[in-house]
Amino acid sequence: MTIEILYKDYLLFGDEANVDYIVKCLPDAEISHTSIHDKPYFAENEPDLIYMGAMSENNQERAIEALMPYKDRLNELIEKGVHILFTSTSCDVLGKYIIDGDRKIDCLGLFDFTVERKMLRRFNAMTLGTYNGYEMMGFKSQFGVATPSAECNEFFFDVTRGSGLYKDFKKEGFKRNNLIATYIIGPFLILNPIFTKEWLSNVSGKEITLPFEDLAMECYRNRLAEFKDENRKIE
Amino acid sequence: MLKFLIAFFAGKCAKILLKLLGKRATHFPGKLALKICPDFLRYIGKPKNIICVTGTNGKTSTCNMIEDCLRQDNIKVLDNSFGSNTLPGICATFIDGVNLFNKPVFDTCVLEVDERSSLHIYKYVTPTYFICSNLFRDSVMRNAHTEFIFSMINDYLPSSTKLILNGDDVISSRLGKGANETRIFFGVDKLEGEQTEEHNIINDGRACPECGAKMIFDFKRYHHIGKAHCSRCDMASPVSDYVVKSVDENAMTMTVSLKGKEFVFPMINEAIFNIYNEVSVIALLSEYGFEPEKIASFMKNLHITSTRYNETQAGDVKVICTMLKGYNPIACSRNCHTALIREGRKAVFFMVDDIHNEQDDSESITWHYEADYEVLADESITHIFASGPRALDVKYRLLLGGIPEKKITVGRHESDVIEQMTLENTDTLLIFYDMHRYDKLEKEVKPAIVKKFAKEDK
Repeated sequence: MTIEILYKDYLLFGDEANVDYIVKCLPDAEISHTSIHDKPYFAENEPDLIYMGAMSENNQERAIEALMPYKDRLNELIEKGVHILFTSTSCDVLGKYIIDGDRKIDCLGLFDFTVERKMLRRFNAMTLGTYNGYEMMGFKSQFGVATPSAECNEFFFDVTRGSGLYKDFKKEGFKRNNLIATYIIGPFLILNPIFTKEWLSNVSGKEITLPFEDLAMECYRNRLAEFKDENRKIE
Repeated sequence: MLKFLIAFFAGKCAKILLKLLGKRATHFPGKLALKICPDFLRYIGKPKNIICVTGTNGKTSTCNMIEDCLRQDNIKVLDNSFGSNTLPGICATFIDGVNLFNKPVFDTCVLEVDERSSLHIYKYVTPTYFICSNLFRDSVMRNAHTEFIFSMINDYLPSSTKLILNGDDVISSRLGKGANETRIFFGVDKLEGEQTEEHNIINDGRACPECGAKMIFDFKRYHHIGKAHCSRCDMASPVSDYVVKSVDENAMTMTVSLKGKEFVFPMINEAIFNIYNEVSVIALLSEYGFEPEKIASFMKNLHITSTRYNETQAGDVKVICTMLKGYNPIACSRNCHTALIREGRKAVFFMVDDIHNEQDDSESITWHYEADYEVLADESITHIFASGPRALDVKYRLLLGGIPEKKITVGRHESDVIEQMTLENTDTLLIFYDMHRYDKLEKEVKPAIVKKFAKEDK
């Protein structure tokens, strides 16, 4: 199987660990790294998984420019059910546009949301929610905040405590077929071992055992108890 | 102006009151003054010479060194070492630095400035000299990324300020480019026997800050520190004016080229990040007008404060305590690498959880996954201990980093860890602690370790 990692040099916020974790869980996978001036591997091939993670705002704009010629191809792969994971600030790329002061930056327009970026107001949040019957959680830290249109119903998971796409919004991320986009920062996959085990098993078509799985689950349960603790501010 | 006068006297009264109550001056008087007069900093009297020091790591040590050197020359120095390095702390410092008629009573001040606060500070304070030690990733929630912090400083730095920059830092060396007339660079040449090209998880210099293309490192010390050029555009590291050419760890000296001429200076500490701090101070003092010999005589009397670094003995084991800013993956990585290159067999104890954060919500573990724990898999590292609410997470991180499980001992409380602690075949125990854990370290942890191993010795 082939995994395409888009713009690894740009990764931030612990998202390097998502890549390393995927590699550790799927040691036989071939990894194709795409740099900003390269033609994406997916342009002429069909990888089994495409990953893009957190990046700075300038690099986000470079990524949009680099991916724009391939947006139809990306859409085609989404429709075909190729597994795609976008985490943290890379999610913005999928929306219609980003507003930054008096600038409007057109994005790939694959999902029905827009982003308002405020460089002097950082949105830090925690989120707890449910997906496929199990609990998900994580931390978010970003300058851009996504607002879906009223018609948008392609969300990743329901939020039960804390913030979703924005404060008080109870949906987190976006999902269409096998594309998942979440604003949770790294290491999202390590924070959510039940999801990761199921997701990577689906990606690879075989049962995956996570590294040191028992300990991963124990850490998950501990953190879950903290996220549910009424005495803590989870927002 | 009336608002300022009210704020000024309120600030002064708060200072006096705090003093009478026996409390060390904090940022409170500044906070109060700002509440009354939001642009208080604009009107408060300021010393003639203002030296601002910023950067992700090393600013406190650098400020301490500069202040000590200037005071050795009998210069009366105003500083914010007991206040905070954000806007209220700096206002409180300036309140201290003027008489009741708002006239400065100091000629010189040394200010540690939080990078994130640049927009508030430089709007009304024009530094004569500005040192930036480096710009690295820090707390994700507060500082986001280096590009953001770079812009925060660069967009607000006054163009008349003389900049003293780390020429080996691909990011911060670009500060004031095209705007500030005087930009002086310091650096450290590749040292004899120095291992370079080390693998780091974080390298924010992989992509060119100008065009986004791949950067090529001609020499990489660690992370984005070294000399590099872009594979596509003309972006390249600058040539440094003040360069450490060599160090002698036995004599604890270093040879520094000052604009082409070489001089020997005492070396305060052999850790490379401390060498960078020291050469930045040499550059500043030289630009300030001191002769190299005079600077060397100041350096002889400097040492790192014990709250940041101290050594003790526990039986046969030397215990070295080093402050490590929590949430800061670079500080953690640098200390892991320092542990690795230290001679002998070493054990490492992490006390780095953010206790305050843990009471309120739940600490993000992002930074642990950006720190180079992998180097601790080396055979010379005998044990790794970790305490705090995130101890199990740290254990998982260490296991993923290839550390054998038998080497790892973790516990929620330091006492649990010390109870299980063994230090067989170990020459040195390195304790890395967050600044908020210093009291715990000094009052409980260190004495307990010393007692345990001294007792076992008997």
